[in-house]
Amino acid sequence: MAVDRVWRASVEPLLGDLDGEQGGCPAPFFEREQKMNQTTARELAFFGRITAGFTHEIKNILAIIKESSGLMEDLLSLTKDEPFPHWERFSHRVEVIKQQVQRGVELATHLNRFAHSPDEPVSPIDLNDLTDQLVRLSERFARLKEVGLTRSGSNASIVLVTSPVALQMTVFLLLESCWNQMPAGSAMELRAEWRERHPCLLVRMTVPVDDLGAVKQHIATSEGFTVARQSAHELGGQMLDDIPDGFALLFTETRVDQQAG
Amino acid sequence: MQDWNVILVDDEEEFVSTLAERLRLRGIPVRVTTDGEEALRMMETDPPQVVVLDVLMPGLGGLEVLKRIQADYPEVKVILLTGQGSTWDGIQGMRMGVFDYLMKPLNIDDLIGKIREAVGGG
Repeated sequence: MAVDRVWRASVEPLLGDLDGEQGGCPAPFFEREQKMNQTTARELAFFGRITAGFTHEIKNILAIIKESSGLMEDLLSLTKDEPFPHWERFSHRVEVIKQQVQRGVELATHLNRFAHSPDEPVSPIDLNDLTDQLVRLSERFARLKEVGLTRSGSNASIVLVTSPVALQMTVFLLLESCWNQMPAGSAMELRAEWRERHPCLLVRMTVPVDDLGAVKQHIATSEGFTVARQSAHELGGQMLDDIPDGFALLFTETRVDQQAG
Repeated sequence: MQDWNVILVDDEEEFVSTLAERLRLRGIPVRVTTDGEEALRMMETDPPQVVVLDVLMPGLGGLEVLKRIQADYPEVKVILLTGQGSTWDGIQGMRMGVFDYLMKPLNIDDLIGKIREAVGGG
């Protein structure tokens, strides 16, 4: 299976000679670990494949709704000079359908990309694309906590070579640990940038209370943040909590695709 | 009515028939099929200027239909429709020499613009 091949190509060089001992651990440990990772990769790829297939179908359905509402709009425009008591109301509803189709298309597109994340266990990931993708997929969760979530774009190309699934999960965990502790009416902004010559994801927070430090303290001591910190560490990153208005995920040990920059 | 000869090929019947109706309302005559083989048969009797072709179809897929069109009717321009979240199919199609590609759901004005360019209308 292609996933196995890609996984082997990306992970075996990191593990070295599987017949020998690695870091004091006997070879069977690595073999078992590798098999578990292969199984996980296969399961994730399966999950992603099915989800990606469905998002494709959803887009087909949205395409039909879009063309149908477009046709209704065309027909309405033909009757504009004829007596039609509900013309305005019809026209407004058609516009609502078009807007919701557009919303659905954007969500399906992002979900489709997300579902393709496990296609390759390790691949280049543009942090600007990642922030866009994650904010689109996560803003609903933040909204339910009455916290606004946005991203600010950066012109810098920042490309990491790592596990797309693990990276997205880590950033989601970080964001989730923030909105879970932030008071209603707060706002968060996610931004990719270079910091201390390392790729960095910055979470900036605005809260409707005076003591941002106390909110940050709640976040930094929460279980979710601890898991995010651990997950970041496994990716070769470190969580910085000494940023004045938020947190930063600094990738100090993660491979950077220099050619992309 | 435009003097254009266009075939739309997409296995989603509701999509392709509605799209065709919208194009006809704008004075663009189109023929429609939901099947790649049928599209090739339609071309035998009356080759079009432009084929608007879905990539993912059961039976004869869009890229296979594209290869046959390029072999038998090199003058026919093909506009690919792709429904994927990425532009991979479109880029693949461009490498294979299609005129252009569009992502589904479409903007009808974009489609008409591409068809106009393909028939040489600028």
